[in-house]
Amino acid sequence: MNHSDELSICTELNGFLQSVDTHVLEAMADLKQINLILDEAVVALNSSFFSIHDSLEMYRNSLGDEALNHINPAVNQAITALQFHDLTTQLSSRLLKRLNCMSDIVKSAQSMQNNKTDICIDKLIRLNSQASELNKSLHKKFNQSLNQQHMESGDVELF
Amino acid sequence: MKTVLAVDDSRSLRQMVVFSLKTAGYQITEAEDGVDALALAEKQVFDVVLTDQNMPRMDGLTLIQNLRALPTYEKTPILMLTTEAGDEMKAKGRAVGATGWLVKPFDPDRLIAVVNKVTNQA
Repeated sequence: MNHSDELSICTELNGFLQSVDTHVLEAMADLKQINLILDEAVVALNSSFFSIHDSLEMYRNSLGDEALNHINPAVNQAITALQFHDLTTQLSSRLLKRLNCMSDIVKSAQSMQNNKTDICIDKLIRLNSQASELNKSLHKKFNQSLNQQHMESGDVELF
Repeated sequence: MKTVLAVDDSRSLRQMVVFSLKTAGYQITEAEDGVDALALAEKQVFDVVLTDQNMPRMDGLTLIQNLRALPTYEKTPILMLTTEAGDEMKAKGRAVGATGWLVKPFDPDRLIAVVNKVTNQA
């Protein structure tokens, strides 16, 4: 392989890494923005929910059984559904950690630019090993499971 | 009035627990994580502890271990309220002395029923 081929491979690789880095950084920025919007929305939703409930409580005695039979399950459903924030915060936090790790790997790889092919290959092998180690450490961090696919209430078990 | 210590790093989740149990006549104290909860539990004996698992500084299982080491919490009902639903985690919870395991999201009526049951048994 001549010098021009080596430069071409390294340039292509660098271009690819720059593109990946841009996507990862933008995904991280979007995720942070989603978290901000969700945080603000949940504060507003909770506040509205409690205000509505307090207002209803003031008129509870004047409400008929039929009305209460509709209201009580709706209140319970709202309490269950409003817990979405806890679940989505955990998921987005995990996603952000994964993207951070990915960004670190891409930054390490970018330092290969202008190196010769054999050095690039050697570095790629080390990066592969680094990525594998990161994967293991993330797996340990995420040993907790969050498998909820819907907002129905979960199981209860007394020991 | 029976007292509950509700431990969770999510403010909105704590609000829902407080709201649900208040309507059932419980007095609730909130803690953001295991460290805060342990400090509160050392000052006051609660009738029930309801704790999340994944929290900063100290997780739920470690909190239960620490509480069970206190003579005043040897027999206090301690319930896990967590997104974790795996059998392995539940076994760990049982091993450290959890009284029960509730998977989030919770239904208010079921939460009240479980808290009533464990406080009446205690």
